[in-house]
Amino acid sequence: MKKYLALALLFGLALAQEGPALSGSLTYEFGLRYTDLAIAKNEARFSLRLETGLEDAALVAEFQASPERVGLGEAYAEVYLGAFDLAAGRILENTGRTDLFSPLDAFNPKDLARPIAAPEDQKRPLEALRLAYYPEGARAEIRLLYAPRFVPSTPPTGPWARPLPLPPGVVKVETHAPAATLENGVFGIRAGTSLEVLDGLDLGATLLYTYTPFPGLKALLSATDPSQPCPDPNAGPCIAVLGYDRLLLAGGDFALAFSVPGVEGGFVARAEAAYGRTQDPAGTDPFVQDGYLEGVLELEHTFPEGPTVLALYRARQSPIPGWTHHLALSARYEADEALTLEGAWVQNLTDGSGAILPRVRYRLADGLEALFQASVFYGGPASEFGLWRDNGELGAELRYAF
Amino acid sequence: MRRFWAWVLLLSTPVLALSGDEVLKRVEARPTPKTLHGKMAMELINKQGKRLTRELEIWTKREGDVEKMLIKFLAPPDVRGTAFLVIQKGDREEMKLYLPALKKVRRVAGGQRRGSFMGSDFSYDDISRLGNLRSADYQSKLLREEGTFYVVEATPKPGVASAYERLVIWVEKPHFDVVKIEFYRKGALYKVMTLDEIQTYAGKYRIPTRLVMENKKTRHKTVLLQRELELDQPIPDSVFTERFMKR
Repeated sequence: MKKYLALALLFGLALAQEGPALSGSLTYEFGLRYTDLAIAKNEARFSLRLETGLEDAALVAEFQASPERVGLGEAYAEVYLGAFDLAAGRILENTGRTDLFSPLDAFNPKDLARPIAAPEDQKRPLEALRLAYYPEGARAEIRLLYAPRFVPSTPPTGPWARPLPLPPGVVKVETHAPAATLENGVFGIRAGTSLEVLDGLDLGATLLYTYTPFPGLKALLSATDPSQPCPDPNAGPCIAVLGYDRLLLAGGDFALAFSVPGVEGGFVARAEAAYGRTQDPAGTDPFVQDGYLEGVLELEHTFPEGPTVLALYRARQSPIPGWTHHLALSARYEADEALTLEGAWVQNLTDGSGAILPRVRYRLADGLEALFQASVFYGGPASEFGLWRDNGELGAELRYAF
Repeated sequence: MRRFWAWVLLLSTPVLALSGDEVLKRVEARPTPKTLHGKMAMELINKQGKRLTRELEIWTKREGDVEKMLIKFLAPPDVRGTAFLVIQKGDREEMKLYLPALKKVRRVAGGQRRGSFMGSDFSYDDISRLGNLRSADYQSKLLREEGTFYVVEATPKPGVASAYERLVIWVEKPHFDVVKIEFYRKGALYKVMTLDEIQTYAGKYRIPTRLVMENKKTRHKTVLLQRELELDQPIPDSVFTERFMKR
């Protein structure tokens, strides 16, 4: 309650001292699944954002409305106290470095109902406190994060859903989120610094004490007497109880800019390595999600007056299914002030499936942008991307920002 | 008396045949502010006459061989909050970009320096050189004198990374103001920049407040207006940090 009173006080102060800046957008998105010509997306979204920037404080409040969600988006107050910045409210936080795959960027929940949505549209704000410390004269920062309540991510739904590997006797599935108690909060700390190495080096380290983003199997109960375990999961009838496991995520990251003699344009290498530890790191308990190791290495090159190209390699190891490897290439080219061409190709090197996502943006006028995109998925029917091979879409979006 | 001799020197200078190098050195010898803070409005005009506008706030600071520049985009709304930081220390150059939608500060490659500045006909490099020609990077020769103008050709010295093969610079004689630059590339005229509405600030700084860059290949034009300029006002180093980029 005190937090909201403080927010209201800051909001009032902000309005009293300086007029708020209002901005927002209206977006219409249409998607057509080209395999069966089904309408996959037909949605209008509206957002209104209020911002006040003061000498020693800032306030942001965003209202979002779409057929799936109406309510507050990002909304927080931040005060600048010397070397400290303190923010409270619904916060979007970034704790990672790499693109496409970012194993350390796991503080906020993600909405993956449509996993092909832009990353900035997938991340959801979280009620949290953030204290950032910037040591005087040093190019460094330390951020402390605390969210009193864990909010799970939204898994892919509808045609994008991935079937859970449940025994055939399961007739009902229940999902339990962690109780809203103090001990179930999410904590995080991130430290970063910049060094004068080659054309510049950024280093970061992150520690998050959170939960697995998606639920796993916690118990199989008898459907006839839910107080008892299910006697035969293959015959049933059973209730599968799903839940979230505590996850200690620790890792480091860097970004290094460098030049190569004789090559015009510079390079940036970025990497993240993360170790996710659960109570079952060895993967022996079927009712606890497994721990994992994940690493991402990417190399970006900007051709002089040409496209920015990014090549990325990702490796992930967990007891089941073992090692998986991904390769991705993406490119972005701003042809002129109006036309931008983008494309991404992601390949799962372990199961041979992949996705191709071309996109064209065209600015029709100030604030008015049209976007045309396609998605193609390929691979075996049980593979990571092959599972979605009938979900390929042609899409168009019109966005007016004000 | 001292002022008298200064005038004699100034008036007599154009009479003496100056080399291209000397002309550019005289351009650079003019007082330049150590710090600059202001707003810029950009109008992008394509060959059909269609116009798009951009607004940004800029901070620059020079201390010895360290140059710092921070640009925050104010409009259009879809890029509002994006910030671009350049710190140049001798030959080393660091560039970072803050993307508010992703809450991410990205270290970016130096190649972007020659890329288009917000879709305009200026490159990031052109923008950062607006206040400082860095004549030491060029070999210069005086091509001719045209009325009240010196016309100087500047060619990047070997090892200097430049997007252009050569520049032809028009310098107005009385104040050594640069009023026009032709940028050549692949043997042909690529872009032309004209600098006008030159105003005197603090009684000593002569700053063009209207710049027009025209791409001769695409017939695309960018008009850049500098306004609300504050010169030599103290800008703390904390402005040129990731912390300030995010605010």
